[in-house]
Amino acid sequence: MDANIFTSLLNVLGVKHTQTFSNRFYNEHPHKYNLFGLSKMLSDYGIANAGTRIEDKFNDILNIQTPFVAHVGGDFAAVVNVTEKDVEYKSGNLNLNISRKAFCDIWSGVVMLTEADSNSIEPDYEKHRNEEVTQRTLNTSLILAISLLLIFGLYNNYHNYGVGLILSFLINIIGAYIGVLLVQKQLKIHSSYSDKICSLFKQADCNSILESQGAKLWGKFGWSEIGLSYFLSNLIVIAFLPNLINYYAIINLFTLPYAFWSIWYQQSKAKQWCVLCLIVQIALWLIFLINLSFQYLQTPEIELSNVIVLVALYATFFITTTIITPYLAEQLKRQNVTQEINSLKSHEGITSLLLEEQPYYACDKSDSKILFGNPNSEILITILTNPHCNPCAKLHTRIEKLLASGQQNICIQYIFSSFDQSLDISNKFLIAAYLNSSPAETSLIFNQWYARGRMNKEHFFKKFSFDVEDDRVQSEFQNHLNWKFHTKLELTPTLLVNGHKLPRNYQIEDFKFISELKINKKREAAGRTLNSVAQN
Amino acid sequence: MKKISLTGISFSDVLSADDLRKIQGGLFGSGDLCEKDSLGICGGNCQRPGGAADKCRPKSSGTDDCTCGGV
Repeated sequence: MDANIFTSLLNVLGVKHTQTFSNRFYNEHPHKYNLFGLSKMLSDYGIANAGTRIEDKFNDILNIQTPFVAHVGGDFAAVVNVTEKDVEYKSGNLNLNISRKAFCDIWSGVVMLTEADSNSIEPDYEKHRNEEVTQRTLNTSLILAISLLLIFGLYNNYHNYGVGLILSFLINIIGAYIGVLLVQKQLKIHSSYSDKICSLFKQADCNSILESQGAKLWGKFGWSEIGLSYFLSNLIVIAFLPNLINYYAIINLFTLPYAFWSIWYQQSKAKQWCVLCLIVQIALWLIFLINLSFQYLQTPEIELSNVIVLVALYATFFITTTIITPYLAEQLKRQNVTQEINSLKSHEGITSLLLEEQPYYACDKSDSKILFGNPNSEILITILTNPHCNPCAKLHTRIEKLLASGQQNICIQYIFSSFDQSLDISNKFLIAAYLNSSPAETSLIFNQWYARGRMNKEHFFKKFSFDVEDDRVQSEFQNHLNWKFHTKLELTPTLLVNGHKLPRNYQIEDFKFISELKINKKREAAGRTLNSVAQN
Repeated sequence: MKKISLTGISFSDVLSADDLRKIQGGLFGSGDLCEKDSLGICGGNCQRPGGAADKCRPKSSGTDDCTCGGV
């Protein structure tokens, strides 16, 4: 998997994290390409950080507490150690060490200072770790189970077919492994093993070959997938169908022209060598030599049933690989697409424009005093909520999480609605709780209410002694009713951002990265008019 | 004792969120970037900051973006 500045930094800082979640978190982050995004991500992991600019780079670099992030050569690097002589840092998948002078020449002087403590940890670390361990266990178990099956089959047949069978088995295992590496390369999944193999020659570039036209048969079927499915099918024949070994040897004969073509293509057309591809050619020839030496290469008595079994076997592996590979490619592309969408949604101009087009409902902080987050924020997210509706409870859990992450750019406003008058008491209770408790206590009561309390309201009310008939409570309750009456809004939960209905393709969490909305007042007024016409 | 640390810098020296947004990463080389040429092939200088060579390749199948890494 590709290393990135975020995971490199987590590793250097020794912060507990899982590779899967942290990579996804980074890759889908709307601001992954700028220092603001990196700062936000570090803050989400509880890592204190601040960006600054160093003027006297050459001298001051010695005084900066490591590890830190440096803006070098148009990218970010995690600086691990600085000495009088040189600078050690991580960039992408590479660990680099260059002279202090050379480093300062490419460093813009911008630095992000970081400091982890005992509270620095990936959000929901235990949950993600369990998921990762489960996934790894499943993967390992699958490989183990398949290996056992193959070894068991091979052991049973070894006595009848001799050492040639074991040699063939080993060559095919290597072939299948190289096939996996080639498919991974074709899917742009980074693997340090394949990179090491591909760098064996000076003129070696596996990517160039795999991205060339010659990498696909008839422009459709990748040679990598064909190779992988061929070697996997061979393993099944060797382990479970050794009586068909003569057919296996004949099939291998048909692969040999491909080996010649591939070498000619790399040498004459692409003028680059793909070391992984060369290993596959060697494997094909080794299988041929083994077949020849151990006399597997004989004309078999052709039986239709055997032919059908083999055709079905090789076709099954080939078709499965061909179906799965594009599916995996799509999955990998999804992360890029998600990041691109997130990046658009976090753009203040675009969000403002989309909000302008949404229906407008006049509201401000005087319509409800039930405010969470930063009451001075310019972004007011008004939520018409019902203390007894399930989607409202689910939304509250998300808001609880959002606020717990220390968001200071938004203010959340609750306006209560109820299914009928008999349930108004719950609205009044929550209002009373808000008006008579500290912010921390209020959060706790609201969280408990939406989690379980609403299921048995009388029991929950008894735990507290709030006066729901208090004038302030009644007045606030009436304000909520008035607002509902004027806006004619009924559905809960309804989310408004500065009075504008939340666009369909937005989530409340998308406002994490927006600090200012520039809504065009003229358009807003037009929206209001349209809205009032529609309502009338 | 390192002087430039989170506790050692003054508030006025801290870059604002707007400043941080302007500082972009993900670019390699100086002037000659990793990008698609007129034939649609990823190419160009793809040296990691500090001089380590890297290959310019498509970011993922089906996308137009190029990135540095892998051989």
